[in-house]
Amino acid sequence: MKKVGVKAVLISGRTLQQGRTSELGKLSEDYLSSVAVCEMDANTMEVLGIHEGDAVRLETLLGDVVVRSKLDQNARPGVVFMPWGPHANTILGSETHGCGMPSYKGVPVILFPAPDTSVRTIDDLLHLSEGGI
Amino acid sequence: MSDGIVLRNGLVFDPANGINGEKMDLCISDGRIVEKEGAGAKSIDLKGRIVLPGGVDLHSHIVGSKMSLARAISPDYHRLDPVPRTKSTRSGVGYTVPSSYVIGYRYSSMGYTTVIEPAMQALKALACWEELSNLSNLNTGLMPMFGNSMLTFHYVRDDDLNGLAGYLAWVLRAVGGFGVKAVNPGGTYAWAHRRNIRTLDMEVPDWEITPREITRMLCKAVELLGLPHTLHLHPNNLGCVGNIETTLVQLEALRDIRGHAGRKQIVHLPHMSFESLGMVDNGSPVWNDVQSGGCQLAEYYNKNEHFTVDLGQITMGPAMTMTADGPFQFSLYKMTRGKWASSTVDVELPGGGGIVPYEYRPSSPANSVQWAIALEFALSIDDLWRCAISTDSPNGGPFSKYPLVISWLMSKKQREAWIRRLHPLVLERSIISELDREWDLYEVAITTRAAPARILGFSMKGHLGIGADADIAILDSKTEDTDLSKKPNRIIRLFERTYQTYLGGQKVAQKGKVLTTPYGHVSTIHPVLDESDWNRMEKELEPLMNSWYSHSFCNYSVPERYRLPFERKSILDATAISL
Amino acid sequence: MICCIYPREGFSISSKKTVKNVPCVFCGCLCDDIALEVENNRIVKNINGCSLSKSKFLNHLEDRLLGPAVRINGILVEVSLEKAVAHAAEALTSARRPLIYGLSSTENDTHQEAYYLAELLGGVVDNTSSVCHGTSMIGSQESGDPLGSLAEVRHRADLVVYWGSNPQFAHPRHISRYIRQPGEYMQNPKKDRKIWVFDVRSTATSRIADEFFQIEPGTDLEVISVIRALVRGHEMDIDRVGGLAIEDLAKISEAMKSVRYGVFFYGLGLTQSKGQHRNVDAAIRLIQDLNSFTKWVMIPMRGHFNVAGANETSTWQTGYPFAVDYSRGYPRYQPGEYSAVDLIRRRETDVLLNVAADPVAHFPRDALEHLKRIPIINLDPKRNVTSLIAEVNIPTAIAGIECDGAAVRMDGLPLYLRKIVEPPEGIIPDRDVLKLIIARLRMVTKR
Repeated sequence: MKKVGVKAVLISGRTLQQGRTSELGKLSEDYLSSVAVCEMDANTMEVLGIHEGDAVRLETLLGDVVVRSKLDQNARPGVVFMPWGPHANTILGSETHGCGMPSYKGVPVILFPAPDTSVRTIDDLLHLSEGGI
Repeated sequence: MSDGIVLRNGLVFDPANGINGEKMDLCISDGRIVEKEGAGAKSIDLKGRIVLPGGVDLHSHIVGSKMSLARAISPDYHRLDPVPRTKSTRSGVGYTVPSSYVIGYRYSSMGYTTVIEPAMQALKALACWEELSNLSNLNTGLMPMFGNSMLTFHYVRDDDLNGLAGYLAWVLRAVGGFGVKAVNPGGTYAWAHRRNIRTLDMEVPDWEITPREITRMLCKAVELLGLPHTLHLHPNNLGCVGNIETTLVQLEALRDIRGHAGRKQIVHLPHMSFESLGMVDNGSPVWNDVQSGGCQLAEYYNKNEHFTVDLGQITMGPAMTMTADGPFQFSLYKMTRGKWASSTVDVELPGGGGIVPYEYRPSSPANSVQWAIALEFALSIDDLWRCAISTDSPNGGPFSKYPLVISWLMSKKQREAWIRRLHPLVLERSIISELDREWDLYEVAITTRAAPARILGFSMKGHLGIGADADIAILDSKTEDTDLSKKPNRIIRLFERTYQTYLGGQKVAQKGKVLTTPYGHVSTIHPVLDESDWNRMEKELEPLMNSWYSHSFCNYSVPERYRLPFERKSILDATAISL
Repeated sequence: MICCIYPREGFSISSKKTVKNVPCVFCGCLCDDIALEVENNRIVKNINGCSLSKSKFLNHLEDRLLGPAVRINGILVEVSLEKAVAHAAEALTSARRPLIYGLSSTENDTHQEAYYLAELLGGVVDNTSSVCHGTSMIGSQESGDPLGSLAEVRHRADLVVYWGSNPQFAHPRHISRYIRQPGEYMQNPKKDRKIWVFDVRSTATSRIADEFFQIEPGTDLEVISVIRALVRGHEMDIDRVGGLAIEDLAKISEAMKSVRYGVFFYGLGLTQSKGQHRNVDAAIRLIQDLNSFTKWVMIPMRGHFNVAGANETSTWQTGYPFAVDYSRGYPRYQPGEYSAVDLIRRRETDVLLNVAADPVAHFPRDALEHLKRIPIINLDPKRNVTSLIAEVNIPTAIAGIECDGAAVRMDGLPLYLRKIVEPPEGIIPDRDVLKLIIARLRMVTKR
């Protein structure tokens, strides 16, 4: 596994795809593939040595997750985006600083290429650690 | 309730029937006052306690989006007054803007049985009906606002009185309204241009019409339809020092309009204390120059019979100001620099109303003078049948302060005690200290029961005659409770919690405790127009609404599902009007 | 237990109808001009809806939870509704700190039952706004709320600001229905109405805006505060803030003061970013200040179709818009204390009743870890991630499609939702399930 990553700030949010496919079913292939992505600029992809669609691993203080990379032509280096959903949540913190709102946006993250790693399925995610069902 | 109840040995004050403290029995059956007790009726010995008709509040903000907004921004207030659940009641919060259930409980334990919401956004009526399903123990009615609606302006500009009447009728039916309210006619609309309209003949932006024209035409349309309650008018220039002049001009502008069926009154002036701000001679409209205009309004009132009034008494302490008068609320915010919420309503309230938490302070010269205005008026008028007690709750203070207001009106001793705590400017700028009048129980019964019921056009409420709704308040008085004017704290205690409150013949509260939580009815007026006239309105309103509003015409009305459980519909035959 | 539901027997194949002016039950726009074609109790066509709306209405029968199920020895087993309700009631009564959560994708009557249930249990009730616009409400509790309305915006606004909001994705018809449409006093919106977008990244909305101001992540509070200072005429002794030059911000503030009618739409980019409620508070104060110069209003871009309704019903019943705790017998409110994520991450919640939301899919990791350990009673029409780990699943009718009710638009307009088709056999609305749970609870506990 490549040890050198790219630092960025992670923003999570709504996408049209995520909203649309959630109505097909939250466990549907369409939905899960629409949320298991990370959008980034071309420069970041180049530094990571990956192409659009390649797996990318995102690491925060709380954990890591592997999703597909997606090119955002308009993005600037330094900010990457993930749609809301079970994948993004595995690396987000639940500290709310007393206001009820966890950190969904502006989370420091390091990206690594993740060749030969598959994107986690929903079952994987739910069994992430002890206490799983 | 087939067998009924007999309330024996009550000391009855029932001004509508001329009964002034007579010892008598009251028979109740099937929710009404009846002549004779039924066989097997339950007898209750009141042992000489004071019996009044259930209280009628004709102007108190109890539901709707402005209450929601006011509640939502005030957790700091709610925390001061938590209300726990009991076996018979739901939990909630109190203070200045109580939660829905608590409003019903508190009114009920004070002996009130009917409360009218005087400022409904017609467009948001659905939420009001939903909220009423969480507000028990009261009969209510909802007054939609028309004073700044583009549809009103449309008919006023075309000088189409019948069209305007048709529009009012259509909305009253669609949303289950009871009467017609106007707030700062044209002025709130001007707030969409960040302006106000302070005089009657200034033009409303975009429309080439004036507040005078809007007010007159709304007033005429209400009389044309023959609504039981007159136009309910919050005038222009409210809350501005010297506005008593505007108020008198506005009342005068309506004086020639003839009431339907010989009714002498054609307009109701709510919360007069806010629109009777006088100004010292050679002063300017700033708070330093404020003086009470209470006497001035009383003088006009004593000479002119065409209007009714409620007080809007300032109570001192925390309050929540909320009006559809956006520019006024903004000016208040600029003074307080605290919180300011406002909300515009599609087409019906461009510019929008406002909400500002406010605390009336005895140490404030202006607040002290404001305190005297309504009292000065109430103690100077001849005809109490055109006057109702209110605090414009929660604007002048929450309705739970009514007992205190009553004590001021009944006791000079109480007024003197309060004047000593107020800023001395009150002595200079009002004549309150010179007034010796003290209302007696009969007069309180008029202004909290009989008169408001009559002003609203309720024949079954505000009195205890045969056939009236059995809405009754029994005060926990003792035979030695005479000479109350010397015992203001006793007055407060008597009116704070009743011995018993009956709603529709059912005992709902006792000694301040709510026993059961039945729902009262919501009175609505259902004007019936000639079929072709109705069709004309639908045909006109549908394209207008579809092009102006942001939702579909057919989603405007409040569905029956929300109304059926509570609605008491009065059919109003308006087929004689030809549109 | 899970599959697509096919039309019920006894339904005539020729049953066809068109229903017009239906409020859409996806996002906070509640567009009520949707026309639906229904064939054989199935919606087959959605006219006027955006792609989100189409997806919701046309797939209403997809991926449904079929019947009530209870987990026995780790496996979900289909049971009768009565059994599922009894199981739910038992779990709730034995809980020390139950939490009722969700409520934003259902109608208002359900909320009222949820509050009643929470009160009976002495539990906590929170809606999904605690993770979306809850911070907006905390901001308004500091400063107020100069709220606008959508028709008024269409008629009058000449400057539209979207701050931290991407309506082209989250509210796809917002711009086409209210902003690009001509209004009574705005005949040529394409020319006379300007759209500005403030965001930390380029979005589908920023690309169609007249101006796009890209700010650095986490600097909303600074940028708004500087605009506010400039509006008030203060001099700045710095050159840049949040990636924007002070001279540009000075131009922005001057333009905001000189428009005729401005509207400030704000999304989760403001409410969820660093600063949270302070960001919203600053924005409210900015809009209030601007009203000293010209007319400005603001409208939160509410996500779920009835999250605004959840706040409103909670407010009129309890005084508080979300995060309400009944453990002392009266409502108490404290975000950070009684908000769902906090209760769960502190491991306080011991039973979760989820109504029309999917916390397992949307809560951060360590909240999820605790959710996996506690019994979850899940009420939702469809399979969702929560349903996978729930102890009890009770499928419900889809509000606004299979049952009626009321919902509140982002600007506070209440709308009546329609029942378009029958729910699948044996499936009842959320409110009725809650009523059954309440009845069962009262029977067991005599509360």
